[in-house]
Amino acid sequence: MSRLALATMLLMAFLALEGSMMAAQAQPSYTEAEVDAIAGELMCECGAAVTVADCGNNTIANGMRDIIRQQVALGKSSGEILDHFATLYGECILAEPRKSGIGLAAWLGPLVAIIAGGAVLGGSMWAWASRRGRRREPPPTSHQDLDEYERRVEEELKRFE
Amino acid sequence: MGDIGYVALVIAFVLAAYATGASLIAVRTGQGDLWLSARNAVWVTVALTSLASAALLYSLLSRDFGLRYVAEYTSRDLSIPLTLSAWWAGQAGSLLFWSWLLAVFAGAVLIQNRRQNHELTPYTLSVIMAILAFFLGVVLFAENPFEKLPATPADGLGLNPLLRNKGMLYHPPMLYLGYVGFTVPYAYAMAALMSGRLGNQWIHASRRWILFAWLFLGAGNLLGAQWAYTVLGWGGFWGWDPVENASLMPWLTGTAFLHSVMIQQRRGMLKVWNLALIITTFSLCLFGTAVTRGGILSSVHSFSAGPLGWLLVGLIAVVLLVSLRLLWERMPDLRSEHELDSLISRESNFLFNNLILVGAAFAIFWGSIFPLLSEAVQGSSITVGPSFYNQVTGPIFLAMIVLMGLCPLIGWRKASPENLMRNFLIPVSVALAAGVLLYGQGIRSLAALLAFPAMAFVAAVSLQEFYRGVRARVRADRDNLLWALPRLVWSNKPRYGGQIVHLGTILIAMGVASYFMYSTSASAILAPGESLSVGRYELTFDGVEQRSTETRDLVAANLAVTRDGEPDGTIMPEKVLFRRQQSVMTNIGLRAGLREDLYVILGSIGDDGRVSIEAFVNPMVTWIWIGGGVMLAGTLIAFWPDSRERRRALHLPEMELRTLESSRV
Repeated sequence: MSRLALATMLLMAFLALEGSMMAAQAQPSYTEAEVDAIAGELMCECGAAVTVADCGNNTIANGMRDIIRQQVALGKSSGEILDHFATLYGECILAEPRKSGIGLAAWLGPLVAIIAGGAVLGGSMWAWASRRGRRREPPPTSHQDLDEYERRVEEELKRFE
Repeated sequence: MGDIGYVALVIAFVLAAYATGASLIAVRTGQGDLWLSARNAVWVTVALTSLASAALLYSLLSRDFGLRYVAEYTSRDLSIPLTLSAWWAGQAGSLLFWSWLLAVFAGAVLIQNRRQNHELTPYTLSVIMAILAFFLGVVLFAENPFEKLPATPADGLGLNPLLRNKGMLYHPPMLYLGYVGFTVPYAYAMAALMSGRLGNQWIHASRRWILFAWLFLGAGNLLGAQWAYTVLGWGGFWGWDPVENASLMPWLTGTAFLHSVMIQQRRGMLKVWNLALIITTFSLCLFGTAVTRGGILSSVHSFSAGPLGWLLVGLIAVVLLVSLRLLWERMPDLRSEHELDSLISRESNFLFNNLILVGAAFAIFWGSIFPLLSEAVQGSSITVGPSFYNQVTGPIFLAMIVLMGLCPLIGWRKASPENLMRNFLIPVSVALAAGVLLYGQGIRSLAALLAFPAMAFVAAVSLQEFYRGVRARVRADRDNLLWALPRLVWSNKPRYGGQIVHLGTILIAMGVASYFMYSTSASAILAPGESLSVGRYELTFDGVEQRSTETRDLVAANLAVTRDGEPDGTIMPEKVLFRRQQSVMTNIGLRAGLREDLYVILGSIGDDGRVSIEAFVNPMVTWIWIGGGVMLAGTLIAFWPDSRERRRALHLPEMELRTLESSRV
């Protein structure tokens, strides 16, 4: 479906030059960097699973860019413009989850998992190492289980350093 | 021919199911005849799946449009190589390809174990044949490549234009080799759990299979990235699409597994963790197949939807339930043989390396399924786009790079302060020098000032390993300086192969980081004579050129290039209209170099002769492909058979063998 949508979109783009972009270029009351930044936070409606910023010059992406330009020209903030798009197309138009509500879970999930994993790992290692210390096992003899080559390298290094 | 293929598949399915049960009963009851019968069933299954595959290839090449699959994926104008690639272009064909690979791997396992691992092999074969029976069942009952059409059309629909590329010849099969390849180490792990032989035997037996699957999965990902970059034409090589994510996740957990098995080999620790990792990796391979072929997540790459996705989800559930149950039952026998000697040791470093690799895989998994989760919770889907993954995985990958550098510097068991000082001095100095140099060059981004010195640190660690080894060889063995390096690498292939892989990884990381941090782009609508500036380039539009072939119309924008103000030839991005499919493709204009790529996309062409052009300057992307080649070379060296390994296997008792083997990696 998305592949078909992409092909159709490209065909449309192939056949028609967008006048809208040129019209927008005539009234630069904003910077393109501002528009690009917001375009990078919105998914393109063309179905290609890329942001408007990455979608290049096609009718749908340029239409969305025009809306961004109009909104920036009206003096709206980035957050307000994203809200405007979310109202128009639904939350799924935003390229990344919001850092509030259920979207916050997307951001925190990996962080919590890694911190929890690190805590479990660190705790287990500490317990492991301290248990071994209490048993007073003999310290490892030097080069006990290094292979012959590694041992030779070590000896050579000692001799020359 | 289609009938022959279908009948072959029916018999193969029955025999795969028979071999599953027969192997298991034979090993449990000690019936040698039954085991011989099961082995014969495996060989006949290999022959029958090969016959079915040959029948499909013959039907594709002979344009037998009476078969639905042939009519849907080929046409008379398709070249022979692309016609052959139609084997894996569609769902039914690719599932047959999956099954054929697995059957061949089952045969290879039999050959590998004709004189060893007699206790493990029947269990291993039983697991492989059970999975093969599942896939053959899906091919027969849900996705039959030999299904006939009521009427034979004069010509087929042909391959999707996006797939009409040489990348189609090698990218999908490489990924499949990786996905299917991980079935074998998983089967060995299950064999260890079922047989109760929980030592290192299964790891020794599966070591090369792990490397094999890991290599092909990695190479498949990289070639996919190159395909996306040069063919899909959106300016990048990695879009964090669910299908891309699905093939990266098992590679990450597979990388963790490759490292953690070293601790088990060397110290007899982490047995449960290693088993859990290979179960996870194989489940992620099935998940990847479900995403790619079953369309269970919305993706630009998902090639079809239907019952297959949910059948595979069912298989994943069964695999997880059975595997974790077995693992749980064997838990008391899986105690570590040693304990951790020190918090600062190579073992602890490997554990944190594992945490980061699995954490990265989890972050990507979480992002991939979050749209489904959010839809289930609140009724509307939340998009998780590329910017999320870039922000979340960036710091994780940075930590991974740092740990990659630390690992070889810290000794096994317990690192002494002298050991640390001697090993760290040069790499840390190199990293600091790189940081100062970058700062001096005007780089102020914190991410860049952390990432690039970290990469310099890892590269210095690897090069230091080689330098010390070569120096020791020259001094101790009076080796010729020229020959010392290859002899050093050959003397310990797993160790130095691994270091070469690390160097390749750094080259890839350098290219990826440079691209994400410093890629620049510009777009404009140009009339003839007008120019567009991007980076140090200026592109002047000189008009369009049109030509037609038998099947397509091409329109190219002719752009004169100046670099730093000097004329530098032309670049010609194209639009291609495939007349029959009425679909348009973009052929990018690409000038690749070691420093940067000039990458130009032709957007649209107006009736008034104006064109929309988008141009990118992507720094150091070529190093990603070079790094991939270096990784491939390193993996092949590590993979190469080792005469010392064979001698040890023949002459040394098991304990001694284990110590020596593990110390080499």
